[in-house]
Amino acid sequence: MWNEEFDVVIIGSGFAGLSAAIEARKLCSSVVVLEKMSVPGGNSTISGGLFAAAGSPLQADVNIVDSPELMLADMLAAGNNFNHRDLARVVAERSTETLLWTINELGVKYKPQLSHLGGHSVPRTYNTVNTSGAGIIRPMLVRLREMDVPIRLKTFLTDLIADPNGDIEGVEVHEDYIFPNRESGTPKRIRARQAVVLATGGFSQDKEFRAIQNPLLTGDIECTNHKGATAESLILAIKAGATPVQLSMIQLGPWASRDEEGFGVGSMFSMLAGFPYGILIDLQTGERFVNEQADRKLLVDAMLSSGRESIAIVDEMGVQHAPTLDQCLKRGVVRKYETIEDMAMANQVPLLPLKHTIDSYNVMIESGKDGRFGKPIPRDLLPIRHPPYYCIRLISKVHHTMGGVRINPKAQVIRIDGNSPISRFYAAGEIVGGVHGASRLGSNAIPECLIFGRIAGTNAASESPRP
Amino acid sequence: MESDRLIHQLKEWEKDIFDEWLRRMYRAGQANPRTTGHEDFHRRFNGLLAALESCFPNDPTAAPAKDTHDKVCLAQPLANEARFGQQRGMDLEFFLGYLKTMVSCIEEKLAETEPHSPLRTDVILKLRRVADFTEMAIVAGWQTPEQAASAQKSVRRATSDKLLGAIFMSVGEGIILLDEDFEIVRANQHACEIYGIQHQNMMGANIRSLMEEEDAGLLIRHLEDLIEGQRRCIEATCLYVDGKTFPATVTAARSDLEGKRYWSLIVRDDTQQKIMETQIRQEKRQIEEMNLTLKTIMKSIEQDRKDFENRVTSKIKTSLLPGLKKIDTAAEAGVRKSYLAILEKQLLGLTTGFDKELDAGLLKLTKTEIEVCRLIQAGCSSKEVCEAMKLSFDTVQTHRKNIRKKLGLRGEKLNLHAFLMNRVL
Repeated sequence: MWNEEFDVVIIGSGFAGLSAAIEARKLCSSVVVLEKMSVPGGNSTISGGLFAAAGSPLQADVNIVDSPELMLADMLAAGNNFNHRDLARVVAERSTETLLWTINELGVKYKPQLSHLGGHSVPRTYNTVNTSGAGIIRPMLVRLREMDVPIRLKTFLTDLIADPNGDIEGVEVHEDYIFPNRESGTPKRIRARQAVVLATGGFSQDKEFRAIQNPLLTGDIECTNHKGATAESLILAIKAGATPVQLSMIQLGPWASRDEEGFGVGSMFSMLAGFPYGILIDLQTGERFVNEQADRKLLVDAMLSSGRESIAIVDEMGVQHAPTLDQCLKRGVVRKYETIEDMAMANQVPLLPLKHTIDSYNVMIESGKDGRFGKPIPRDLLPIRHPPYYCIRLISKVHHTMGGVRINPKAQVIRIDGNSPISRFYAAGEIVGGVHGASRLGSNAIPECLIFGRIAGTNAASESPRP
Repeated sequence: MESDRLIHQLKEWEKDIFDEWLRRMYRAGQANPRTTGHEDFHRRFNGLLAALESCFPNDPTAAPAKDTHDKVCLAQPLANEARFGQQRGMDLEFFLGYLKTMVSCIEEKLAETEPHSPLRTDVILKLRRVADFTEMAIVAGWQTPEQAASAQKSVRRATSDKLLGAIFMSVGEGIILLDEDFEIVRANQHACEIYGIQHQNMMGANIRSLMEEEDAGLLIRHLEDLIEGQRRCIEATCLYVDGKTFPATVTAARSDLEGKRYWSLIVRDDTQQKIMETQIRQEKRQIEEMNLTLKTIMKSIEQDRKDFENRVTSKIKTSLLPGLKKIDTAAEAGVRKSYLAILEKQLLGLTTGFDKELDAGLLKLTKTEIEVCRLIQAGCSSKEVCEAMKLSFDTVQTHRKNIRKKLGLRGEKLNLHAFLMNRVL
């Protein structure tokens, strides 16, 4: 009946799947990671590599007072209190511990300064040196190679197999699967002696499924995710009895570039320089219309509300914070202008209102308070007056699906009928719903994925083996 | 509806109208079986009537077609015909003439009927209007030959770009395009799979990050040396995303585009090939070793043969020839006879000895003992042995005892003669 057997079977090779594999392998002898795509790392490896941690060493260095309670409060505020509080609390409380785990156990290298992302009360975001999630995925892949954990690529989950009690006993997969051809590959059944961990990510690229959940998200809206971010494993989990949570909570990224596909290099430019150290302008009016440092949901709503086309502008001082500047300029995602006049002409922004906007923004910074939109004004925020000027054309793209399956703080998937865990079935990462509520704060996804991935891996490997 | 009836009437007159139209085209020197066939005429005639029909709304209170959108609708069927005609090589003048002649034939046919009817006048006016719209649309839509050619070319280019893109992505070898900073600007699916890196992360990555430092340096030196159109091939140790290394062959070529240098790299993962090469090398070594062993065996066989020859020669010298001499000198016939019998046995032994087994015990015997054995083997009694070897009886008996001892026959109920029968001495 079974073609193969492992102690723990993990589906997905992103942050959650790989961290689960590392922890599981410490407690049991045979772990396998299954990945449907032809390269490992999923969406994690193309992410920006931002890690929010409350009470971190870098915060201590610059005397930033932060705490898990404050981080939790920020998460609940952005999430409109839709968050499943017990899960959100785990993320806030274990964020720093997990950050240190990546540094000490994996050898991940972070930049020596923190970033302040929209919606966070204080700067608490670490950034990998290469400004990419690959900076964490790679060390995890190296670690797993050393631990002798196989990562099977092109292996597509086609079914979750339950035993007569309804406990998960294994999976059916297609080996040599060619994404996205569902007919491809050969079927195989793999048994999990201890447990299955589902870490298959979100469904931002699944245009049909996301439009079912939120009809406003039509197929022509772009997406920052890799092509494999689809919903089929979520559907399998629901079929196996999992509780679906908040599937219509789908986040758009307000910082993506109009001039490139996907997440690209522009997103990190806006996130780390354009929004915190620059201004967001409505092309029609040449005016600001929102607090650039608001959380993603508020920004997207403001940008989409009147069909605005917007650009972010930053000057020579602000651009120092942009790690991807060279790539952005090379690919034409960010353009550089010697004067405000040139920039206004090239982008067809009315010049006088634009100049007025910049002047009054500068006055506001010097006064230390944004009376109109409430943008926080940290000490290193400088007036925009140092040419050349840089600007990026923005468009909102589908970025993250907050919804997913319900888990408890032990990462056990909760059955929809009976409110009890489905035995031997764990989930972690973006496939899980409820952690972030209505809107996820930037740089909170990596801690979430790693924290619940590790919990799931440890608990899966602690199950008593089936006979 | 009156207008419906009239238009229907026109449709019935199509044959007459066509004949008249063709006559006029012929007179104008424009008739040509390829361009003035009835089939085309039928389609265009009906297109025109359909447009005309739509000028008479079924609901009389509805506003007649007048906005631009409607005009476009009216003119569209025939304008499409014009585009079709242009693709078949008609020129604008011909097509306008075609249409105008058709309209004038219809008008004439209408004029023959129902003189002074207001409906007839209305239909004629509307027919002219449709004709005007159509003419406008045709003139506006008519592409100059250059336009037509470039439009076709750009369609063709877009298609071939797409095709090329699809081929690029699906080729079974890794292809990477580098810019002047040695950063990746294009990479196909296979290249991503070879390195285990997602497409998005490949873009903008430096080629140095994909291979071991030394090899990257070597590759870059090669790239800098390359002239346009030249190709070079190096073997490099590349890095998979999880830090594992693998051997690869990288073929580099340079192509210059808009004053900038680009390099294309074709990367082949040689892991399988290297494994096979190692296997082949191992097999080769094994075969060589086997050859050597065989050679040694052959040599020793050759040595054995030589030894054997030597033995035969020496046997002849030491046993047979002296035997012959003894026969020669022996006086008594009985003794001679027994010598002859021994000689016969010895000669037989030379040829049949091959099949018989050697006995380790025999090797321990002294020269005299072997001599005694041979005589016994040949069937001599102890007495005969005494005579043949000029030994005393007691001495021969001692020899026999020692021989039995050495051959391990002491206490065995086995006759020495029987034992020696099957053995080579």
